[in-house]
Amino acid sequence: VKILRYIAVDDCGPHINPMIVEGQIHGGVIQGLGEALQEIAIYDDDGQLITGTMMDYAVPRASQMPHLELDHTVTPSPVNPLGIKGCGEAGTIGSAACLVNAVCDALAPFGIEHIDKPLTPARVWAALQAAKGKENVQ
Amino acid sequence: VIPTAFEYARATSLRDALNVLAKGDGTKLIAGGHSLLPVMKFRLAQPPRLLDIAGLAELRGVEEYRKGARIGAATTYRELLESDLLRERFPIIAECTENIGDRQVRNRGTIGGSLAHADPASDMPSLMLALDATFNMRSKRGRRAVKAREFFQGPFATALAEDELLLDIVLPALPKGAGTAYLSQDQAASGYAQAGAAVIVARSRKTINHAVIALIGVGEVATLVAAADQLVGTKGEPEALARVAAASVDGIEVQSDIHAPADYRRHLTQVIVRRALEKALERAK
Repeated sequence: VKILRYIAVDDCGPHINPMIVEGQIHGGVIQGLGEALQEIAIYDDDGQLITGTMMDYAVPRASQMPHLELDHTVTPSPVNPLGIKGCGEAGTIGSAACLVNAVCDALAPFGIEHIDKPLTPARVWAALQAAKGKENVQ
Repeated sequence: VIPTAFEYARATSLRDALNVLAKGDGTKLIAGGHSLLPVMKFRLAQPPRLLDIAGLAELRGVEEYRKGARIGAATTYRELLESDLLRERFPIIAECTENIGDRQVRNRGTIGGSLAHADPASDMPSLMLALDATFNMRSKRGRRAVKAREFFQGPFATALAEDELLLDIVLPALPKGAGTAYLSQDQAASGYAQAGAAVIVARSRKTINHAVIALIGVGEVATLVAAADQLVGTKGEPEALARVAAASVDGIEVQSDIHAPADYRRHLTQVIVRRALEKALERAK
């Protein structure tokens, strides 16, 4: 899965420190993308976590992630004097679902409607193989 | 995360290192430590003593050797990347080394350390097979030389005896005008290859007269692809490349793990081999 372009538009109310807001959005989006693309906790039959180290559990790294284009709308919150809203997880909420949907959309011509995340190369390939198999039957 | 207790000493000379190894007291050699320390931290290895050979000047550096090159076993990845000689004669080494670990790893990790460790998913063994390297080894008993294809004997198993030290690696000159390519797909967490291919091809006029493919991460040990011979005599037509790529996994017991099941890895290998062949042919003069 290659992300060609990622655009996030958030509304956290007025930005008191824009740099921190941007950093929070970056971190949040990447957290979601990591979950969508590569992070997975796998347990064996005895309940032992087998993705228990950084050798197996793929936390996203800078070199694996796309450039993010950020923009904002500013709608002050009516419920506090500063008009501010949380921005820490704003990116995360959208990014995982957004990416999985984008991949399913890209694979729609193959009759694929759903793949469990994370969308590792092996899983996307398996979904394509399964789709091919169905075609052969018809 | 924390290794068991061990003693540490620095070798003062090659002779000193060979003397220590000859004692057979379980001493492990360490140079960059980027293969050994991780397995010690996982407690997969618990050597009682480490002998550091990183400081031995005679084990470091790249030099011209006949028409090829000689690489000291304790030469770091960074030194490989900085060698103009290697870039000119064996560009495949830089192409592969650039993607090993990160900058810190490349500053410390050594070619000999990686080869002696012989992780079936590390990149270097396939390069050595493809380049037909000779490994010079030394012990108090004497010297001997082993070809790369005899050196790698299994996962984490090499031809090195307990008392032997890898001195250097000799690479013969590539065929004239040869094109080379290294391609791999790495697991996102460890960076180890799920499948990787080192390819060398040369042509005379348009006809391929030399073709070598070596794989890593696929079987339980780095291996040469027998089907590469089928390219010799062809002009590298897409059908020929596809045929050889498809046959590249024949006879290999393709490994399976939680990240890359065998059927996926088999497919991945075939794709990587085809792409690496295309790249190498494009570069062949």
